[in-house]
Amino acid sequence: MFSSLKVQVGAVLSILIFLLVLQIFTTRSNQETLFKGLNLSQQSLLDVNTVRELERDVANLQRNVLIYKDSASQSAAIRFSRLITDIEEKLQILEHSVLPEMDEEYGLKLLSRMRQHLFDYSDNFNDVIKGRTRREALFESGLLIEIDSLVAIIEKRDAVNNIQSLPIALIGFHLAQAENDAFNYILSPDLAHIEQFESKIEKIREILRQYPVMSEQIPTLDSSLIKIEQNFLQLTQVTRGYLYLVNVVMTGSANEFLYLTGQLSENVALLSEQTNTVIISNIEQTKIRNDITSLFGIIFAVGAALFLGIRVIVPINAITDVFERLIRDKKIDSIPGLNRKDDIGKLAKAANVFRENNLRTTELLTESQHLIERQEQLNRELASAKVIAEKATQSKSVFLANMSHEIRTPMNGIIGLVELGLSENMSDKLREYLIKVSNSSQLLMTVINDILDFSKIEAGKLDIEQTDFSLDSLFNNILASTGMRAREKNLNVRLFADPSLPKKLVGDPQRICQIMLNLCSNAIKFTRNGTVFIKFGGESSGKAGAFTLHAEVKDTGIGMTDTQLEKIFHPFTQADGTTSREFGGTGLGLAIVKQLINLMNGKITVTSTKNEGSIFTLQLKLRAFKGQASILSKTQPSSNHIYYVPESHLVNREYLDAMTENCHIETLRSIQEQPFAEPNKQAIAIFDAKSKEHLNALEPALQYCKDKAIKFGFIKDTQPQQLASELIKTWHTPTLSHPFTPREFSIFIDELQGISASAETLLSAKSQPIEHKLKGHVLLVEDNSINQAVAGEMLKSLGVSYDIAEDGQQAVTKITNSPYYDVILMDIQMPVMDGYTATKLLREIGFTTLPICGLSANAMQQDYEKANESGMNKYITKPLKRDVLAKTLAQWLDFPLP
Amino acid sequence: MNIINKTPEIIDINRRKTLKTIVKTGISAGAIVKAPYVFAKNTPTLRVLGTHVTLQEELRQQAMSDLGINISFEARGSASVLQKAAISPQSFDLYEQWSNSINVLWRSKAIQSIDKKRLKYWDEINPLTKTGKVTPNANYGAGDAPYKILHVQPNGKLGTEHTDHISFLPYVHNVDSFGYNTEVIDKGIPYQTESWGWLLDERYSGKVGIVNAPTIGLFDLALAAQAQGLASFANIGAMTKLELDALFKILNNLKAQGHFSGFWTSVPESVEFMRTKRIVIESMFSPAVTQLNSQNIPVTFAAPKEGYRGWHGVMCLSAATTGKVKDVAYEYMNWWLSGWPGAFIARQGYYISNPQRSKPLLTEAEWGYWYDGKPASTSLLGTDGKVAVLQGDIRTGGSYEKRFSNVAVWNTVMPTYEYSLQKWYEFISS
Repeated sequence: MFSSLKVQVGAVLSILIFLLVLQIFTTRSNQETLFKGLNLSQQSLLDVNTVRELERDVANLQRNVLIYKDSASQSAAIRFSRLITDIEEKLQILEHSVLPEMDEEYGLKLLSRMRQHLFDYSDNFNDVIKGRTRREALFESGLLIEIDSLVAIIEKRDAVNNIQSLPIALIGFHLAQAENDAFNYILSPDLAHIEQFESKIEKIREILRQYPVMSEQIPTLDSSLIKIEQNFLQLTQVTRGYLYLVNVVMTGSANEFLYLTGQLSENVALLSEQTNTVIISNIEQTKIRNDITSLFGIIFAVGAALFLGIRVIVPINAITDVFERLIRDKKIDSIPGLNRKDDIGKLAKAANVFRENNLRTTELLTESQHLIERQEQLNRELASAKVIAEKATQSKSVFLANMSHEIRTPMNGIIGLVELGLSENMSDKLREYLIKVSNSSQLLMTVINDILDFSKIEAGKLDIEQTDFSLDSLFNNILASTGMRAREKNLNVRLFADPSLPKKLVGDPQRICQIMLNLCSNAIKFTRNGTVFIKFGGESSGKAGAFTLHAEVKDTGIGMTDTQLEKIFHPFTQADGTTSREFGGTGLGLAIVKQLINLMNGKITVTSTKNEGSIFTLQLKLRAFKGQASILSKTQPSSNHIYYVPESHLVNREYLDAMTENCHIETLRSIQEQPFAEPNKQAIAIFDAKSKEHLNALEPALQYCKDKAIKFGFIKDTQPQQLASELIKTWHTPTLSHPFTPREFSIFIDELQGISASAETLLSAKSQPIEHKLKGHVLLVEDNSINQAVAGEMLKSLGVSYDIAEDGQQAVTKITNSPYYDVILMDIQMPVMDGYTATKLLREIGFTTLPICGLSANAMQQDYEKANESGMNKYITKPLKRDVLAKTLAQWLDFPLP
Repeated sequence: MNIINKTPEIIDINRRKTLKTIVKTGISAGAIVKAPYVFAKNTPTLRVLGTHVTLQEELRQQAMSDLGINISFEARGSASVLQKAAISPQSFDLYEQWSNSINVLWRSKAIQSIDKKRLKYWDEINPLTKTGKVTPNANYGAGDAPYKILHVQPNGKLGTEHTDHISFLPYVHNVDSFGYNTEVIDKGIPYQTESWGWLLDERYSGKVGIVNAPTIGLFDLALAAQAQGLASFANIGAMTKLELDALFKILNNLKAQGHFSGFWTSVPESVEFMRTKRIVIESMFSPAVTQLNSQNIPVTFAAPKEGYRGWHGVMCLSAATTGKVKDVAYEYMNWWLSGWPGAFIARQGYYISNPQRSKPLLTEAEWGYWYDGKPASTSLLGTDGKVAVLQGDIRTGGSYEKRFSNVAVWNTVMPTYEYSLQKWYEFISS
């Protein structure tokens, strides 16, 4: 416990405080001693003075006594009593001041003796006064008057009788002498006077004895004599008495009093001296005590300072240094005070821990620095690897782009030429071959396009457009491709779109179409028989026109296992290795779909059951303008009755409800028993057409309709294909085959109601390509001879004349030399001068209004932009399609009416 | 013991005591044997005027108890006592003082003569007051020797011729000298080397004390001066004015040289002088010596070769006392000589005039020490119950006879008394 610095410092401080208190106490007591000493000293002086006064008073007292003795002065008596009071007071004072300082017994005795003497003195003086007074009385009245009266009596007797005058005269004489003696005694008390007085009285007695007649004649004489004698004796006694008192007793008392006063004086002086000595020694002692206390205090304070310095401050400084060095991360060889058990020791231990931590931290830092360096190196390596990889990717993309260009160019030639060839008259066998060549070419193009797309996506060069597009045209595009393939495999395809979907959406229709075609072609590919269902739905996401388009592609195909499902969106992967062997394909389709959906912030999910089929569901985040009409909305709601007789529900109820408010679903049985209750002209009937057998069953109902002039139509599945033409042929009524778009359904209904064109027209318009006939002169700038041939043939077939320029330079030269071209078709990639440069040049030299249309195999967004920048009016991608070309050229060339 | 200081002190302590006793005895119904005098309403009160030497409380109590009378003591200093007695005899019945007051009292007719025939133990009284010589070889002693003033002469004066009437009852008496501290002064040989002259020995200058009383101290000094050969007196008991002048001239010189340290006025004071070593030699009364010795202060009461200064107590009958009180006064006088009081005061060092009656009341050791001058066979107690005499001590001066055979002078009122007062005054106040 004592090892704690707190306790040590506390103890040191406590001792210091104790010393301070002691010092204060000592000082105080010293002051008190001094004060007391001073008081004593002063008191001593006062006492000495008092004693002196006492002596003086006693002397005065004696003087007054003597005065009184001689003169009986009253003032002396008064002074006496006053002096006695004074002396008593002084004794009182001395008793209080001196007595406590003296030997008590001695002092008490001294004072009591003084008091006793004083009391006696005073008492005796009273007796003296009494005696003196009595003497006066005795002398005056007892003696003188008595003698005088006796003398008077004697003289009177003498005068009366006149006899024996001698003895009377003698008596008078002796009386007079006695009186004289009495006076003498008063003046000088002496036995001799007494004796003489007595002898005079004796002489008178002798006379009286000689003359007894005298006594008879004066009867009072004897008694008077006795009285005189008696009084005189008393007078002498009184005189002796007070003389004795004054001369002996009182003087003795006074002397003794003075002696005692002297003793007291000596004592007081001694006391005073002692007091002084004591005071001086006290002061000495005080000084010494002070010095000792101070010295001790100083020594201890120095000791404490040293202690604190050595034990606390120096170690703390050392520790502080250590800590500072630690903070500055300097090296510490040793830590002082590590072995101490007090707080310093704890600090030292803390410092040690600090140091160890520092060392560890340094090690860790070094280690992590190494790590960081390695990391950085790795990063650098990674970065360079990435750059290399990116470069590689880019090169790959460029390569692919070039490849696709290089492949497309001959493919364009092949496809173009095959297409042209097919329009010639040839044997059926040859036609069949050419058709197969055409199909193979188309397939090859698809593969090439897939690879190209994937490359673009990989290279981040695929851009999503944001344009408004018609859902109907989307459905048309999907069904055009899908329907054809489905027919090839005799599969049914059904499309259902929610009638409430808006007509137009904002997004990238080409890519959406690409996704859907991919999914649909997959569905068809992996379905051997059954139906492929395509469904569209959607909902407004609420904010700012956001619209989510739902799409679903469901097949009844081979389906996939869960393991296969996990991998299907990975590139170059199919459900498993066997798939590609059985079904072919690059395995890029779904990967592209997934990537495209991601680019459009969409979502795709797939559920599948092996051997039952798969369902691909996707949501795409698009936008839609508000207040649009829906895809199946009627401007004027129809009140016509529609009777639908389903066999396998080929028409959705929603479609029907969208068309009319009065929709009646009838069964085959119900129309057989009671066909169409109260039919009128506004009523139409729709029948599912499945098979010939089914139609036979419908026969009565159909006949009824025909009889009642109720318009009716058929809805049939995709298969059997030939059924449609048979129905048209038999019943001359509109027939709608799956798959159809909502618009086609609407047209179908309108046609039944006699609102629009005939079903034939609709059907033929759909299947027959429009023949374009144009008139004008075109400059085809194309370096590749095959492409020159293909494009040339297309232009020729469109009725357009043309010149050829081999490169941009030639084109510029030709246009400058003979500026009669209506349109310039400008390839982009050419030797000598490319298409952009040539266009720019042409615009610069003044051909600002000359229509220039770019041709390129590079179908990327930036290419369109580049074309725009260079001044091209239009841009079309290769391989050239006749109808696309026709449509493009039609903008500038006269389009003759068909 | 105060013989000179005149503190009036009417003893009434006892009255209070007895009153208390009355209350007590009243309760216990008539236990009157112990204090019959209290109830005697007609019992006269005997008024005794005197000094502390004989007016002791123990004596009063004993007397009242023995006699069945009421006694009041008025103790005063000797001068005061004498004056009061001389002037007013009506104020007392009995007067107890020293023989030197007899002349004054008798001349002033304050006292009446005592009828010898009414004194029961008159015949037992020893020759000291009857013939003046306690032994055939004894000195009469100068001054007012008691035998000279005892008997009332036919002419009415006092003289040596024996008559039936005496002026006083002889009772307490003693001899005094001086005491000295043997620590300072070598112990002398009684009657041989010890001398009054020592009082004036310049070796003890400044350490000498004298009793402040001309009728006593003057004789001490006169004897001293005589012993030193400084003065001579035709009759030391009746010094003339010239002789007094010569004596005081010497004394005043000595006084001026600071020879005398103090003049004591009471026995306690004389004790104090010696005890405090203020003096080493002084006039002394015997009780003071006893006290000092009991305080282990080695004071020797000298037996001067020049002889002692004697003093004789007198008990006088007031001239105004008559009738029944007078009878009681005689009873009290007879009681004093009846043995017990003599034995009582013997233990204080005083002698009684008929010692044989007291002898049976003293132990052999006491008698041997106090009267016979023999070494104390045992330690002796004083009347205060303290040891007064240690075993083996011998009373200085020897036996009663030896001491009273060596009286140089009696305490005396000389014809030059008034003159001596003046001279004394001059002496002590110089």
